Amino acid sequence: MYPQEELRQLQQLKQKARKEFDKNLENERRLNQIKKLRHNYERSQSMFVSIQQIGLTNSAEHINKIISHLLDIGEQVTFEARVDYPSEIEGSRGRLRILSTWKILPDETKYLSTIKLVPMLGA
Amino acid sequence: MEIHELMMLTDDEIDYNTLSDEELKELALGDEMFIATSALGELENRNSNLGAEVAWEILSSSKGDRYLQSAALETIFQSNRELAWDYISQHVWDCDRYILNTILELMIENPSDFQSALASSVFLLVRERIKNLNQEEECISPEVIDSFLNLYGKVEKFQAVNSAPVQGKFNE
Repeated sequence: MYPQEELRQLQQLKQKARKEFDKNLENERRLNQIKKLRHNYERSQSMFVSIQQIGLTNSAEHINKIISHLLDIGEQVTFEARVDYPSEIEGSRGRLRILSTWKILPDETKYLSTIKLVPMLGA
Repeated sequence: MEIHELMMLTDDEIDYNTLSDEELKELALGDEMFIATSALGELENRNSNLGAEVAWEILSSSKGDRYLQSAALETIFQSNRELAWDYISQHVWDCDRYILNTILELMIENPSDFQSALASSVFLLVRERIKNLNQEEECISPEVIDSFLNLYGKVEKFQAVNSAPVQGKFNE
């Protein structure tokens, strides 16, 4: 989550009383900081909506299902195919495409760097 | 701590204040989007020139996702207004709706910037894009659109008073 009300107040102050806003350099710094928090929040919300759309929830069962899926994918990933490795996960209402990116350490340990969730239209 | 060790942490677990500019740059250009967004924010607040440089690398190569690219556009807007307007004018017609929302918010927040001819021309382009938006389009709230159009009315009056040449250009 991010401080929505503080963001709104800072945006309005900047728009309507720019001189007052500029008097305190902390205002701009804080505004920038909250905006970045918001982008991360919006991204996580979007990912959650994608998961919900296929019938998965944030229950322990479904979270374990997703983790298990990713662990299986980790076994298949190679150095050449470590970026945006495609896979699909299924819920009660449809399927979701997952693009996972992995880091492979010098000792060949693989760890998940990030995932993108791509809703499959009509799936 | 090495970069790959940092990237094993979650965004919340990283104390970005303690990282060097170079480490922040590497994270901002890395694969993990949550960490990249936060690292770019810290870099922007600490070193606006380097922040803008990294942000442009993200935007010009469409790196990351729409959330990171929106963050990058905000960073560039702070330090290089002309480059930001140039990017906006080139992409406003086909950019992602989330990025369009960021453009609208930047314009609403910075109304004094609309007095330049370039910014005014961008304003007209954005208005045309909004006209063509489906009402059910996600990411852009009606309040943001209302604020933008309200502000746009004021700009039109300003242009009429000052006879801004750009008005004619876009009405041809």
